[in-house]
Amino acid sequence: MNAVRIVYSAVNASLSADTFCLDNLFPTTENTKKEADLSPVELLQLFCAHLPKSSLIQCQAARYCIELRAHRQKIAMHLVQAAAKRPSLDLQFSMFCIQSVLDESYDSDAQQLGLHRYLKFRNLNLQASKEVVTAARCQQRFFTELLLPTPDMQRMREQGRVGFDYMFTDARVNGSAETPLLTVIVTFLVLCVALQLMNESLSAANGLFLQSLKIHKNAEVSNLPACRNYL
Amino acid sequence: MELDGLSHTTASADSSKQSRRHGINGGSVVNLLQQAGLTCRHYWFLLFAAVNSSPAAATDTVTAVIACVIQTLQVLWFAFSTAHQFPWNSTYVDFLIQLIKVTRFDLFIDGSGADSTNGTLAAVALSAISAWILAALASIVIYQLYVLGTASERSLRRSRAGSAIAVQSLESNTSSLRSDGQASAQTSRIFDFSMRSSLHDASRSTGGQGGTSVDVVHFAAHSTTLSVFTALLKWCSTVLLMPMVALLIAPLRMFAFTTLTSTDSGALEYTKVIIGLAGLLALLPLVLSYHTFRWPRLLRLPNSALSIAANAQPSAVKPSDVASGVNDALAVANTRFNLLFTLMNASLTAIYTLTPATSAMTRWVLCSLFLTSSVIKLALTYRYMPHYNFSMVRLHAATQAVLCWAGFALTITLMYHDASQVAGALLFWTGSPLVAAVVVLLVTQRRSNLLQYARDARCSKDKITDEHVAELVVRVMLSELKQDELLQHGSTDTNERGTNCVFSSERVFVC
Repeated sequence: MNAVRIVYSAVNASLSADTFCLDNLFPTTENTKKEADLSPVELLQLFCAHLPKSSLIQCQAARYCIELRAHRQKIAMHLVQAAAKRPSLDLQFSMFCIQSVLDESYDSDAQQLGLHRYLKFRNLNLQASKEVVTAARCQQRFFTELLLPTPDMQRMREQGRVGFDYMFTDARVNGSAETPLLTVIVTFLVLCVALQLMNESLSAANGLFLQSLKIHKNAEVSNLPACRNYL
Repeated sequence: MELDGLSHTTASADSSKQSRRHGINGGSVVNLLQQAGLTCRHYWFLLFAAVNSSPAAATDTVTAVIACVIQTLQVLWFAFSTAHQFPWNSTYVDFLIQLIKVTRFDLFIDGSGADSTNGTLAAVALSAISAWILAALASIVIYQLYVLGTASERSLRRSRAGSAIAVQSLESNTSSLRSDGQASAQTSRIFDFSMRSSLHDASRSTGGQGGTSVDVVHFAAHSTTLSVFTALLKWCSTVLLMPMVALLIAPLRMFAFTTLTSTDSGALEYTKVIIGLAGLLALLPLVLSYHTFRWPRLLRLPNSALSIAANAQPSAVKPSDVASGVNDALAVANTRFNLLFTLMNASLTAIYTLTPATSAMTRWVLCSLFLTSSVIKLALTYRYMPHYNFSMVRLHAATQAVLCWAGFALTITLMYHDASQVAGALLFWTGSPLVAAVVVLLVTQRRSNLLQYARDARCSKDKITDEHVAELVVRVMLSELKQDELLQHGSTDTNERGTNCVFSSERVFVC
């Protein structure tokens, strides 16, 4: 009987409208429904405002923004806000995936619009400016030291070497002693030697050729009277 | 790219930068360990990103339903366990027990009643070997991903070799500035790993397919090893989890069951314990990671350049090109609940395997544990609806309700404590379909309420304080929008064709 009563109450409960609203979170406002309709993106923004400390909602917002084809700036913004709230490991993985999706999209766009070249140029330009500033500072220190009544030769040598390295070497970066300038010089010397050797061998060959030609000519000249006699 | 301009970095990124700096300057053990941890995390994330991108990760609806039914039957064993001598009326439940035993094949090996053993060496070894094969496959896939990264780096170097000397020196100076700790474009990324940056640079300079994700997606689509690993891991994490855990943990019964008689020697018993624990050590991290690191495969952003060139609206949503978890019936929006359910199932398996049913009190404790876990699972499924596919939410809620009802029937059975009494069994058989139907109705009604709330969110005075519910509201609203749009597209198609055909169920009930 107990079982029948329980089953009956369960069915009764499921069919009565009041018990459906188990949590009072969802009041019905039929009259204002039309005016209050929100788009999913607006709804996401509303929840993000309601839950400022939640990294999950920010992460899910970024995920749904991808689904809704929202602007990538917005996705990146949600991603950064999620990262700011110390996300758990599962959310970190979601962020890893979202960032991969973003990177992929930006890369393909940049490839199509030819932005890579511009970005590379901008990057190199910035680096070059920084190197120039560093070299100028080194130069300034060098001359400041030089103008002193008793300049420290060791320091001047160091300043000079740093400036030289900045301008001509990448040994500071790679930790190797090999420099591009040295490579160029060695290559140049090797080329010079090779050219010299080639020149010498060519001239020798030329001399031999001329000599043989002369012998042949002499022979022809010496045989000429005999030929004439024969004719 | 826009992320590069953002000045914010996470704590992890900060720590990685700091550790790199310290690694260069001081190289203390703690910082080196931190760096190693970050590298491990990176490759672990990369592995599961590849797993999620693999076609083998997707499950069709029929397979998902079968898996759900099998898992439900496996959990139902806790209510009908013959090893613990619950006093069910055998006439009513015998065939169900036989059916459950098919899904819990470990019961045929280790015994399901008084004939319970400490596990056979062959079964334990086989399970452990399977687990270690899974771990080995994971290592191989990680190595392949590492090789993929180094190959990209090599292509980067090759492309750089042709450039001028001045460009080379300046580019190398970029890395020098990076090592000096100055803010660069790459270091302001949220996940700032050197491997990631190098891959990214490589793809940029070679004008290749894009970033790391494209490499991973391409790899996932073509790697056989990854497909095998993903398929094995998927089944080991779902339908094979409980039998495998039971088989691996069975040797530990020698410490709990004093009454068991075994023909094996002491050394062999301890060998079995070690093999079993080693297998668990390999299996559990992979399974838990699989449940934690889930991400909808094929979620991609379109190229804005193309849409700008075509003068199209980038934010326009078309159901045909919306890629989400809908192609995977087991895809979940929130992995935390899935993880919790898996942990509960594994814990219940371990407890039931290791607890001897010597007294009525033990049976009551086991019953209360089963009932509590079932109620928690039902409540979480009802409140948070973790699956994207709403049909799967309904199915899961119904099965959880049946499990809860089985727990309730078990309570009644234990109260009577008479094997000839049919009340418990009858209550289970008559009440289960009804309870399942009621829960399905309740879940559907909750979805409607959430939709209503989503529509009235701005006017509503009640603010949602639960982040999971907020996410659910948005998810439900999106699925509804997609469904509407699919219906509209379907009606447009049919009008164009001039036929009155009914929409196919596959298109309409996609969410």
